[in-house]
Amino acid sequence: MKDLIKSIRTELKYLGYLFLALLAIFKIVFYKENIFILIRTVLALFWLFILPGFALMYIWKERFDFLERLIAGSVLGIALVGLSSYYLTLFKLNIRWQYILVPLILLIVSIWYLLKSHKQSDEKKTIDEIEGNDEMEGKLP
Amino acid sequence: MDEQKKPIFEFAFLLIIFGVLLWMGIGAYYEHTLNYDYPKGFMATDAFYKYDRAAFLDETGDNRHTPSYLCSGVEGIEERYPFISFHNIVLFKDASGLELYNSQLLLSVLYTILGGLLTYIIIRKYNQKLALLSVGIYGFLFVGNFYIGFLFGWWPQIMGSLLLVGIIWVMLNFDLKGFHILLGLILASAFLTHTPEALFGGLFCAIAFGYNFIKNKFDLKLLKRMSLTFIVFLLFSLYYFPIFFESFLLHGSAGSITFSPKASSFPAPMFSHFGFYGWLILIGIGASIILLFNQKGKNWKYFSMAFFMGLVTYSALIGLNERVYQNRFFWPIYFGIFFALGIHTLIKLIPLKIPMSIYYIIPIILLVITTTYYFQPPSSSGLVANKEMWEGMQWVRHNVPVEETALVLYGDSYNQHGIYSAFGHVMYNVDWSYLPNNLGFDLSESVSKIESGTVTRNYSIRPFIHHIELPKRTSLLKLEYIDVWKLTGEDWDNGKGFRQRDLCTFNYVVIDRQSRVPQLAAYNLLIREKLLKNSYIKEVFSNNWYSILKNDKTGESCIL
Repeated sequence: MKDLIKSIRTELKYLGYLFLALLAIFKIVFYKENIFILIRTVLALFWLFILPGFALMYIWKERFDFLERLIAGSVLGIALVGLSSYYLTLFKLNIRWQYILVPLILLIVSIWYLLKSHKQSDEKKTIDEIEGNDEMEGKLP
Repeated sequence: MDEQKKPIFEFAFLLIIFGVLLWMGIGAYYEHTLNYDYPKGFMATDAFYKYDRAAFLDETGDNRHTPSYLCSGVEGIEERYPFISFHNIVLFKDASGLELYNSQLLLSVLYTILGGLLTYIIIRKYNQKLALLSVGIYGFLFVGNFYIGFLFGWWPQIMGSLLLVGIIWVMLNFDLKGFHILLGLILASAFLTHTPEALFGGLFCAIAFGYNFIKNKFDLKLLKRMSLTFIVFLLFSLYYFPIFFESFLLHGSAGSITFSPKASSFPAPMFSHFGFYGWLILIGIGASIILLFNQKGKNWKYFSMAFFMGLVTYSALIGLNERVYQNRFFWPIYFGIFFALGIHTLIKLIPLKIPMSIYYIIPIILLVITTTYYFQPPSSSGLVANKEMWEGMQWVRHNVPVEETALVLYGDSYNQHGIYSAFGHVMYNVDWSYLPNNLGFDLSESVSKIESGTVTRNYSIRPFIHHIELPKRTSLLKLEYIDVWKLTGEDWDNGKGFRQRDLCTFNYVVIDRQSRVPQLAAYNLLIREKLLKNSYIKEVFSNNWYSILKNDKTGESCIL
């Protein structure tokens, strides 16, 4: 669990750098625009699409590097935010609050799944250590 | 290059590319502001329909029904268009505080760039150098005819294209745990965003699955995973199925399949539009075929999207469907790997060791060439000519009560009739709105009145009704089609709804003060002058573009 928290902390720092870089790009491209509008726009992109997708992709952290999780995660975020909002609206949830609720729900589900699977793999690791079933050892030449 | 610094270089490189593409996609056209004060780039009827769907969702929270003002006041008509892209726009508008139309264009540009970046990721798994070089053609995404999707309002198609790249990425990683569920979800999302891209994605998956299934000697585990994908897709798209089958397929909104060559109904991108970049793509196609042949098909999956979408986007030539021309907007993305391999083949001819840094520099130079020689932001604002025009339309949308009638006189933009949706009201319109772009109406009577400067009570007028037959949902999986024209006592068959109607019976008359044809603007003002001679008709909104009159005694003889 400590490893997971440490890695999340590191990657959140990267996301922070990315936020600043994107803000700088937006400021250069839209140099006539008010900075507060740009900050809110980039924050909206992060909150709505980047973070939910990135959190979901954390489930496959071992399989993809940061860049791939970021880009593919954003595409998945776009797909899932729209899909969730579509059905929540069909079920009469007011659309006005969905920009807060939908990413929040996706984030919670992803984090819950991540913690659950991490806990399971931790437990499995402990059993393997007790029983001496270290898979990596078997793979050594 | 220092291996440790490589990810940082790559990240910086992609950020530069992102910035250049953002500049080309929206920055230059929006004159480097983001929150424009009126919709820019609405250049066709579809742009207004798409905007209106998002606006209606934003205003009412209803994603099931077509606005009654598009159906002559009839309520409960089922919305036929897939709706997910509009959800993203509304949510993004709420989160960012941008105007809805600005959110719409910005998101579409970002979707396109993201589609390019995801393709970069796919190619990178095969070869980093090729991935870097492929980016050099992305500038064309915002050049000439490739940009039409943004201006004609085909924003859902753009999001659909991004999701199609997403589907392909998920399918290429299908072996991973849980990816079969992801595939089902993203397929459903694409299906509810823009159906054709979901169908192409589905076809791609079916082919890839078939290949893997045979290769894995009919592995039942693979079949089970794919079945689960289909079940997830079905569960999340079931609600839209009756619309898809009845409206999209049976009622022909999807276009036709006749196996005879079909021309594009819009200025579609052609291969020649790539200029000399096209030669590099051609070299790349040849090199890819040789490479795949020599390697006995190994690494096919990295080329699969390029070949597959290449075939899809040319399938109109054998008559499969003219809509595939829209998918050519993403050619620079699909053909990126060919383009990269074309350059790589030429680089290999140089008898020197090429440092890695060159592979970062080449695409940037190519992008600079694209921006310098090929790129030109659209010069026109679109059919909404300026802020004052937009303010007038919004005034009608927010102030004219639903039960009161509104007539709009001639305006230059109204022959693209989707524009009436922006008024958010059942808009009646005069037949000479079609004067510059006549669709076969007999306008002789109206023209003679304009030429002689005669103002009368009766004119050839019709309500704007979107489509003829529209569906109502009678149960979860059943739709019933009704003829909205007949239901509201209108006659489409004779004169397409135009008939003589009394100007004095309308509660509101919306008058354009300006036109590219001065005689038509002058005639509008002549009608205005006659109407204002009555004490019960008042001007309730006025600016340089519009004069909106309110008639408090409808039916009185207002033209003396």
